[in-house]
Amino acid sequence: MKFSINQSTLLEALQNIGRVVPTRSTTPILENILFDLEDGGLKITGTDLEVSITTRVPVEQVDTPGSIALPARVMTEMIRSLPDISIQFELEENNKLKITTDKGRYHVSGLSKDNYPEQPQFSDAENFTVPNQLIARMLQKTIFAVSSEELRPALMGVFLQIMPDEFRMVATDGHRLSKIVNRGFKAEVSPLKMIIPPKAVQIALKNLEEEGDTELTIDQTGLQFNFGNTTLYTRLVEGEYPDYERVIPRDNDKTLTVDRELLISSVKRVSLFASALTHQIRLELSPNQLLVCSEDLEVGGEGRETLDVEYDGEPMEIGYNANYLLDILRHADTEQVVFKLKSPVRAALITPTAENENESFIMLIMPIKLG
Amino acid sequence: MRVIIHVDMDAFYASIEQRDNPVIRNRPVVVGADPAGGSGRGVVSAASYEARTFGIHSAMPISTAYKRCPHAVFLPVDTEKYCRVSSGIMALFHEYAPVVEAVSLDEAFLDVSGVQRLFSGAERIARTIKERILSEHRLTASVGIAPNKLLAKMASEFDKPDGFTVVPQERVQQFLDPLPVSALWGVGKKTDVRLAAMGVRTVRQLRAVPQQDLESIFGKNGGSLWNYARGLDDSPVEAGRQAKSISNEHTFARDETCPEVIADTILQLSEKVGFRLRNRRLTAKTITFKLRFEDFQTLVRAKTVDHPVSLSEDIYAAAVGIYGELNRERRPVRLIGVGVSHLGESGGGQMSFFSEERETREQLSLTIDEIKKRFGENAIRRGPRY
Repeated sequence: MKFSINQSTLLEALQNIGRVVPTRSTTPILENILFDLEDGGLKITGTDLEVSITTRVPVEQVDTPGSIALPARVMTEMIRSLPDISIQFELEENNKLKITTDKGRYHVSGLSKDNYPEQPQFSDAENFTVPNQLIARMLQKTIFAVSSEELRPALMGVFLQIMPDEFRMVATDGHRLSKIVNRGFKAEVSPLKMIIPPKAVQIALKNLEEEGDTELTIDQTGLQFNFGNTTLYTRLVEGEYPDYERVIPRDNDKTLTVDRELLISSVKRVSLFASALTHQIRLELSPNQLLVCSEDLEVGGEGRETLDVEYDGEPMEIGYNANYLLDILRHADTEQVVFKLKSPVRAALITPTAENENESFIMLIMPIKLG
Repeated sequence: MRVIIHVDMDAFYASIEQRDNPVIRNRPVVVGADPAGGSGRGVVSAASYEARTFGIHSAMPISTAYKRCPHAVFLPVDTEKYCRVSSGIMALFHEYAPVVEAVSLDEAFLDVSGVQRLFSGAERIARTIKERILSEHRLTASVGIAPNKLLAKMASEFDKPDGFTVVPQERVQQFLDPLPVSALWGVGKKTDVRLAAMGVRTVRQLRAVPQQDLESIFGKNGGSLWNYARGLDDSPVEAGRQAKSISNEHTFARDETCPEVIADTILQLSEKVGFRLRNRRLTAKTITFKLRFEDFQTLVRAKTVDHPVSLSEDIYAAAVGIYGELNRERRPVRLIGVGVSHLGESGGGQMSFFSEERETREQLSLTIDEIKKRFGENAIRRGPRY
């Protein structure tokens, strides 16, 4: 195995692969990345056994194909520290890799490919193609609500549902929920549902180009994004996604319309004075007025701000976790947002004031019980 | 002046077992791990007074206890039963004392400073409590009454079992002086040995050592020793004070490798911890898992959750998750432990969409707890889920 490659090309690939490589693993081989030199070029792979990325990079010269697993951290640090020059690699005996630049020569100890986990194989896979803009938007609008608590593993991912006439994504941690549905896009695939782990979603968002389409491959246990030179594979989260439709309120009869940016900055300021443990703020609603307040009983801090709003219901006080509320407000795209409310102990339904064509987008937040 | 009562149940776990089973009364009873004919590997949790005459005491390896008295009655720990009895006794304390500090299941401080007149004196209160524990629970307790917690505790210890010792202010020094220094708080084995090397064996001798000398030898602890030798202690009886953590452990009879057995044991431990947690109307933010391998390498890992939990299954989910991470290689396991900490009051707080379902599960847990309280720990148990 012998080849030359441009520093910037290799570094870009290594940094992308580095997103999955664990820095410390109980399975030390995972701290390595796999170099496969093939006739077509160099293939670099990283995996944490849940998520794997493989990317193909062009090389300047290929001489005898071969493979070697190399320590990811050392390789990335090394390549990062070089200027944008051509670098020669040559595999010597005993899995030693020689790196040569215009100024220096270095040796890295690698491991045989046999030690590196095999790429998962699909069985009964289906392929379909989605527009990048669509999938990126839907992932962005849901990932923030994914649960990080292992108590309910099925909630630890974005739920993707493909139905005959719609494409939908949902995420919830039980305290907030985001659901986005697109009816304009028809996937040429049988109806299916899957739970995508957030790490894969984050890496996918980094790899999705602004324009164009991406091909997806799916079977019972895994999903693969085929982005041109890079493929991203992820195991799907096991388990049954809960019946989220059941928790979406249908009879919230009080409407609050508020300027999104103004509310975001109020909540940010007021929440500085909330308990650092609960981040609890209180919204006091009265006709056409909203009071945002917080108090930290332990430290003695307190904050209050008044906003002009549109509100037609009876006066009400609701407690929320400020961070959950901010997450939701940041994801509503329009200048104003609409809250549909029922009572201080029921979920609020939040929507932008206008919808994109063929799209429906709703978010929910559960209150904190005011003591 | 303060008046503090310390109530300490006599050989609590063993006495409950003897009370509930007439056949083992007046016999040496050891509550703890399975002795397995002398090869058992856990420890003694409690020993009846009959067992103590054989030199058996709590925290001793169960195999040693077996050697000392193989014909003793060895019983497993039934924490839930002891909890149940304990809450009954603690409730009784609250009838007489405005401030009660439960130190453990079998021990509490009562501050009766304000109410003595109401109940015609602290002695009267303590007598009544002792009598009611005997008549209502058929158990004996040792009681100490003194001007502070240090002396009250030493007083209850003084005449165990079934003791009743009053140390009024004017007799403090008379009470303390003849006692060995090891009877004082803060005098463990190491301090005891060092004091003995200085020729100090009794509190009277300790009192003769200048404060400066004690501080230079024992540091901060030296200052406390000087105070304790004079019966001085101003630590308050703290009602709000409660356990900072709750945990249960299990030592396997032989090093365990079967994943199903281990998972089931984690489930049973989670159930025990959950029961104790819910019984105190608490929730926990942190779940800890302890794992000891056959070579005694011991790992403890904790997981903190965003929202406090109290359900056994939530504790189990976290514990089993940690176990999976700690023992990927499936090494043989000697001991496992499940614990919770960062405890808080239950109720209120962040609501969840799936609360209906949660409430159902919480209700189920409370029902199981109720059955256990009424019919004993083994009346109902969760089946393993593999």
